[in-house]
Amino acid sequence: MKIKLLTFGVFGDLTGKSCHELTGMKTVTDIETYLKESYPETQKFKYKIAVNTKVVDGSKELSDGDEVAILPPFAGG
Amino acid sequence: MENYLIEGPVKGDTVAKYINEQAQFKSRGGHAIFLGQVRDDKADKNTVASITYSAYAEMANIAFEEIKIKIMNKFPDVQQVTMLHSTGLVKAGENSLFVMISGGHRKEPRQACSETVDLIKEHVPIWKNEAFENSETRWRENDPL
Repeated sequence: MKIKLLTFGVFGDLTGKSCHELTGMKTVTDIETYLKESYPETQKFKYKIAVNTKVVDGSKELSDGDEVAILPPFAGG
Repeated sequence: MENYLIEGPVKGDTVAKYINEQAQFKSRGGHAIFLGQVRDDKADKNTVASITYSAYAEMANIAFEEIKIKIMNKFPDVQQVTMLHSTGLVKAGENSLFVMISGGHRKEPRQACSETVDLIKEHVPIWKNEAFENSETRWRENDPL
């Protein structure tokens, strides 16, 4: 199962790219664990997670082809 | 779905185009406009020269659409909600956000314009990276003001 992980704002800088392809992720919590273990410096920053443009919590199960986004606090305007 | 994002600054001729289009809607008596301009903020003797805006475009356009529906439902006198937000580089002194609310009278468009700007700042996935005159950069969160 493949998912596309998009990282915006400071999370793009900290992970080195804005789009990642991941396998073996079953839930949103798995994504959070991946971020924490692969890029520990990201834990200094607040974020929400969206799956296919909807903000979700950690229990959300993922499906093949899902687009997951790491969203730091919005700053438009 | 409508695209509410434009590359680069919101220029005066773009604003003028939206204003001029209103001439055809003769039942409208009031338009409230907000323009968000990039400030030359100071930090530790550095001055902001520009902001580069990035957006999660698909989610942002959905959020803009939801804001439009919310405003139209809340304010029955409002007939049109126009919103444009920049992506990419916008220099200090240039505009990055244009909101125009058109209605039959002045009261509701003015209230709706203020609420629309607040909703955009709170709900639309857009981020800003400030570039200072000495080429340093930083990600910036919104001020509560």
